[in-house]
Amino acid sequence: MQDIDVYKLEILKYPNTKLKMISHTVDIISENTKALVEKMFETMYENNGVGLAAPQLGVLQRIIVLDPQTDEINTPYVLINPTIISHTDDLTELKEGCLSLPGLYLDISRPNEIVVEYMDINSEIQQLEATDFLAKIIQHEIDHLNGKLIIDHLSSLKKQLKIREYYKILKEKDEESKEKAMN
Amino acid sequence: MKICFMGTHTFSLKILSAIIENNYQLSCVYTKAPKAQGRGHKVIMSPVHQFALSNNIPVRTPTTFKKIENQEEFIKENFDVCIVASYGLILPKTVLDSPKHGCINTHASLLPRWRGASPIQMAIASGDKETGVTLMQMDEGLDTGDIISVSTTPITNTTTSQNLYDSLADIGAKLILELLYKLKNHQVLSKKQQPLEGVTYAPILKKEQGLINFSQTAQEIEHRIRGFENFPSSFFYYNEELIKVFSAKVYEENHNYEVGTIVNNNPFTVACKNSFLEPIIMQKTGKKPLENKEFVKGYKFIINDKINYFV
Ligand SMILES: [Zn+2]
Repeated sequence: MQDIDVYKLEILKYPNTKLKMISHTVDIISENTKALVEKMFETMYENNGVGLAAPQLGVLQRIIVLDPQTDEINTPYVLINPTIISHTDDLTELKEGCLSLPGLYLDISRPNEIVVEYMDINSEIQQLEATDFLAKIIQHEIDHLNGKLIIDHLSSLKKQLKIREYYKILKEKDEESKEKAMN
Repeated sequence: MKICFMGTHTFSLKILSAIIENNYQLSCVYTKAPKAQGRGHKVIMSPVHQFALSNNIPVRTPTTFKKIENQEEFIKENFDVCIVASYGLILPKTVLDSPKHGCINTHASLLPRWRGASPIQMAIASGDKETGVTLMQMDEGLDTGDIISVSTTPITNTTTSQNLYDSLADIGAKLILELLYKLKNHQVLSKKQQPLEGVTYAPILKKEQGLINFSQTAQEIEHRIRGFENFPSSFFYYNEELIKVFSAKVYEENHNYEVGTIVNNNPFTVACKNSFLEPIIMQKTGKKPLENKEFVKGYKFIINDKINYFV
């Protein structure tokens, strides 16, 4: 596998095609993988995110990082090749945002409790039982590994509406920053 | 003998029609409720549903057996036996225990191998040399019940999930007819517990399982291509475009290429672990499937490019 220059990586935003692609399973955790994970945490914290998936930086590998930051304590997680092995049937709704769809917040229903199997940074297979907020972030990030965004949870009509709303927000932000640059 | 049948997909259709052709009376057929599909929300009945109606058999389509009234509706019939084949709903203990001979499931694998939803695809995708059908006395677990009878069939290097699906449905029908004959003649069924060793699971397949991993051997990839032919189908990305592969040739040969390297662009060939994979039929999204030589006429693969790229 070729090395990645992790310092050049930036968050990709919708409608970048890489966000729609399915990511590859990680076979070996190299020094480069570790540098990538480091960069993912850095990017996530810089943008006040609670989770980030490698494809959001344009790297099509099944790696996610997260930190629910409950009680303002940092509890970082790195999940490599995560798969949900079981979940409860009852769905709960949560307003979710996404660093690849800045400004858009959508009510998404997902199982409230999951068990996820993954490889940790030391190549050990682990299981994690997650509930509530943590469970939601993990599912959101795993969706990224399968080329799925929060808008893909909507009916096609609602999706079109929300995409229009997203472009409007994007344009406003763009004008704001232009104004700032002029002053 | 009062028989109930539960099934939804085409796999169950062959079994249902064999039961009817052999003049067994079916009191009732359970199948999944019709679905509204497409733009006009046209209601589509399951193949089993259509077939049962055209044979004047009463059809029931509960959406769940969690509801007590749905359980009671089943229990008050006092069935002698309930035959289940790729139905799709979970049956609670009250339903499983109600018929005199219980509920008997036709499962398309050699249990305990490939318990779960995709046994046919997983047997091929994993390179199994044989598979078959198991009749099982259903219990509350996921395909864990006692084995009543088994019939095996080989998997060759040309077996696809579609033709295996058809032949296993025929085998399933044969086993069910043998079972009904025994029940009709009051013969005792011999039942065996499933072995504790050799358990594997075949979960519901998802699209992401179709992504080709070129660090596997070409033979391993080719098994998956054949097993996943119908769904989820195998694919890779080139220039951020998704290309499906429906069949492929395997060349076992050691080499020094990095896996995922395009080593030839006519015919398009890729380096895998200790081997090369040459797709036979490929398809670009929204286009017709084409043979390799035709595909490369309209598509420029660059030799030495990597297609399991990560960045
Ligand atoms: Zn996101």
